[in-house]
This record gives sequence, C-alpha cells and structure tokens, in this order.
Amino acid sequence: MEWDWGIVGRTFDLLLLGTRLTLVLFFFSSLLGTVLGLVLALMRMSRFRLARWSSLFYIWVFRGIPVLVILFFAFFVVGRRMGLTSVQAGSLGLGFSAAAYIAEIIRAGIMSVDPGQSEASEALAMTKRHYMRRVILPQSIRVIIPTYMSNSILVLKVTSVAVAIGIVELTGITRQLSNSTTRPIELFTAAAVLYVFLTTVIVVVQEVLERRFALKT
Amino acid sequence: MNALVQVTGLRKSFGDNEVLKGVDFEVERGEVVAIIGPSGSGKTTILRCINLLERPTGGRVEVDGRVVCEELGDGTMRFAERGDVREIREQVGMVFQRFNLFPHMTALDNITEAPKSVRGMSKEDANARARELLDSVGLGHKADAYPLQLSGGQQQRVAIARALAMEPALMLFDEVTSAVDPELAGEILMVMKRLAQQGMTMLVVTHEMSFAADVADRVLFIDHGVIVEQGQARDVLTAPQNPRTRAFLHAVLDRAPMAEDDESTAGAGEEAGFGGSDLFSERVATDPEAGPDDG
Ligand SMILES: Nc1ncnc2c1ncn2[C@@H]1O[C@H](COP(=O)(O)OP(=O)(O)O)[C@@H](O)[C@H]1O
Ligand SMILES: [Mg+2]
Repeated sequence: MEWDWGIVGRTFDLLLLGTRLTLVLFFFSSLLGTVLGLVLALMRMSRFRLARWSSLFYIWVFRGIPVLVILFFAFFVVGRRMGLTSVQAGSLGLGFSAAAYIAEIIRAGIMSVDPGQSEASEALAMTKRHYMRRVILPQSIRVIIPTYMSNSILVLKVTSVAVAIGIVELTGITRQLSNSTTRPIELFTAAAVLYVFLTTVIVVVQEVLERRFALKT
Repeated sequence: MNALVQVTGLRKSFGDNEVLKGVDFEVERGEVVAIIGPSGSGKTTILRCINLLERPTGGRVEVDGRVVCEELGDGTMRFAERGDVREIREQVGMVFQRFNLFPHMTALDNITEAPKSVRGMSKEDANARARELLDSVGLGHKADAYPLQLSGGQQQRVAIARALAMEPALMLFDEVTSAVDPELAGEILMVMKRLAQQGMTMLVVTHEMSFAADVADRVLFIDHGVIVEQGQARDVLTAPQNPRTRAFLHAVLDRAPMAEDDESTAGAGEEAGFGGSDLFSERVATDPEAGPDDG
C-alpha cells in the first residue's frame, strides 16, 4: 500500500475543526477543574470539619472512578436531565474529574510554603483570607506550576475520551475520516502530531510561567 | 497603671510534653525585658503564647488590659475571640529568628501589606511611613529590593520595620540575631537598642548577653519551662544566685559571669558588670548606616 500524505492536506480543515473542539473541552474542563480544585484545596485545609470531610470525600470518589464512567454520568444522567449539549456535559465531566487531581496539586503547593509565612502574617494581625490570597497562594504557585502543567497535559489528552459520548473532537474526527478514507496511518499520525504540538504549547507556557514566578534573588 | 504584659501561671504542653510549667512575669510599659536560657527551655514558646501563635494549656495572659487567654475555674481555657485576637496582635509586633519576610514582595511591600490591609491605611500613607521606617533602620536605599537580595542583617532590619509599621505597643524579639552572620548581628542590635531608647516596650529572647546587659532593664532566666531566676539585668548577669543560671552564663560567655572578679565589692558591681560587657559592645555599637549596605 502506498503512502498518501496528501489526504492530510485535503482533510486538514476538518482536523482543525476537531482540534478546535479538543481545545474547547480542554479550556472549559481546565477552568472548571481549576476553580473547583482551588475551592476543594482550601476546604481541605479549612478549620471547619465538615468542609474538610466533604473535600476529602469528593477527592476520594472522583479519583476512584474512571474518567469514562464520570463522562457517561455527566452525559446520560446530568446532561440529559439538564438538557446540556454533549460538549457542555463533556466539559462538566472532565472538569469534575480534573478538579480532584488539581485540588491535591494546589494543596501540596500550599503546604510547601514555609509555616513561618502564615505565622508572620498572623502576628501582623492579617486575616487568614487575606494572607492566603496575598502571601501563601502567590508563593505556592511556584511549586504548583510544574505539577499543574504536567497535569494539564493529561487533561488535554484525556479529552479524547469524549469520543465516547459522540463529541467529534480531534480523535473523533480522525476516526471518522480514517473510516471513510481507509487512510488510518496517515490520519492518526497527523492527529498525533497535532496532539504533540498542543502539549508543546503547554510546555512552553510552563517555561514562561516558571520564569515569571521565580523569586527575585 | 497596669503592666503592659501580665503573664500568670502560664503553662503549655505539646502532647505529653509540658514545655512551660507555670511561668509568671510582667512587663511594664517602656520596659525592656530579656529572656535568656538554654536551647529548648521554652523561651520561644513564651513569646508565641503572648500573641496566641501558640495556645497555652494553662494560666493567664493579659496584654494592655485585654485578656489573651485565661484558665477558668474548671481548668478549661478561654481564649480571646477571633476579632479580639487580631486587635491584640495589632498591639504586639513580633520579629522571628528566621525573619519570615514575604520573599515575593519588595522590602517596601513587606512593610506596607499589613498597615494597608489590617489598619486600612492608604497606599500613599503606608508607603511614606514604610520609607521612614526603612530610613530609620538604615535601609532607605533598599525599598525596592526583594528579601533574597538582602543580607541576613538587612532582612532582619526590614522585618523589624515591618513589625513597627503596625505601631505596636509591645515588640517581641525571638533570637533575632541567631540566624545571621555574627558580623551582621551588630546592625540589628543597634536598631533594637535605639528602639529601646525611644521607649518601646520590648520582650527579647536573646543569647547576646552584652545586649541584655546593655539594654535590658530586667532579665528572666528560664530553664526547663520555669523561670529559675529573674531580676535587674545587672544582678542576674553579674551576680546570678542560682547555680543553673551561673552554669548557663558560664557556658554562653565561655567564662564566669560578668563580674567574676568582684563578687565582694557590691558597690562596684555595676561598673564591673558593664565592664564585662565591653567585650562585646563593639558589636552593639556598629552603626547600620556605616554597615555593608551599599552593595
Ligand atoms: N510545635 C511544637 N510541637 C511540639 N513540641 C514543640 C513545639 N514547639 C516547641 N516544642 C518543644 O518545646 C520545647 C521548648 O521549645 P522552645 O520554646 O522553642 O525553646 P527555646 O526557644 O527556649 O529554644 C522544646 O523541647 C521543643 O521541642
Ligand atoms: Mg527558640
């Protein structure tokens, strides 16, 4: 069988459409995962037992369930009931799953900050809410960035699971095209290259952020 | 008027480990009290109980007429309410052994953060005040430097300025020179000495015996969680009564207590005591402005 790399060029606009959906899923699941993850991390360290336990319970459950199962829940149960589109339900499911991991990443970052920092803030009569925002979180970011970005790469790639609820993101469109053109090697190679390109962007952003948040010495 | 700080029967346990076993002392307004004692004797814990960084397990602490904590009849502790704790902490500045400056903020921002957020000071006022304070600790030219760009001595002086920016009635110093190079201790001690001369009430945990002799009005010697000896600085440092105090001073000074050669001449005790401290006093006398700050 001959190579036909021309197929990639002829279907490229469709591959880009799939990539766009992949990015939409990535963006909204990251957004939801990060906001919810931050809330869960702060709850996990709250002085209120109920908050700590709820957070622990959430993390325990959502890390224990396969993403695909969460996605089916989001699509068939939540999505159906609330009349969500498949992309909305998909973002929801992926975001809820990511939140559990991001919560732990943020918590580890916060705990890595020298306790002397909160003690100094307390001694200066600052409220916890204030010094968390102004003293602890900014310093934890430096520690959070590498693990968070590495997790982002996972979040990006796991969007391909959304194929299972009928979202034609990059993996989905590639499969359809390969079915209709019988050129799976060329098309999946193109998809792989696109995924690697996207993860490279994440790695570059990580570099920039690490430099941006480095301590001035 | 009441003493600014009143500590009565203060006890603190960490689990089964009773670290403070009933500590009583007072600090009058304008007074400088030094706490000395071996490592692990509970000095830091005493300071931390005063601003509730540590929750005492027994006894009573009062600052400026406000009850920080008290032991009730049934032995349980009652602590000041959250809001009251913050008001008490506004009155109590603390300087830590390891500076604990905010490394992601400039020296200036380190100083203005609390006045702006806690006291609602405007940015302009807070900045102006912070610059005055930096000038007063000899670091006017370091306002925009980040902590890690400063020497230990400079960082600690920023930390002092940061605490002073809240205009506290009381300053707590916890071995503030032990984490800096010995040749930089003098510039910190100089700032503290000037602060004492300006009438600040200070409770100072220190191993700098010459500083205690020179600046403190009274000295508490603490060992294994109890105050073993206390009194006028010159008495405790030059003519300690308790054998444990004597042994401790012997160890830190690497010689007998400061008045080794004249226990008999009580009248000359003062001279002799401070004569002893001259051994160290050049460190105290280092002028921060003349220090190695220009780099
Ligand atoms: N947070 C803590 N948890 C358990 N033990 C502690 C804690 N802080 C201090 N201690 C113990 O209390 C004792 C006194 O400590 P500290 O007040 O720091 O002594 P000092 O300042 O005189 O060296 C030490 O034995 C120390 O191990
Ligand atoms: Mg200590």
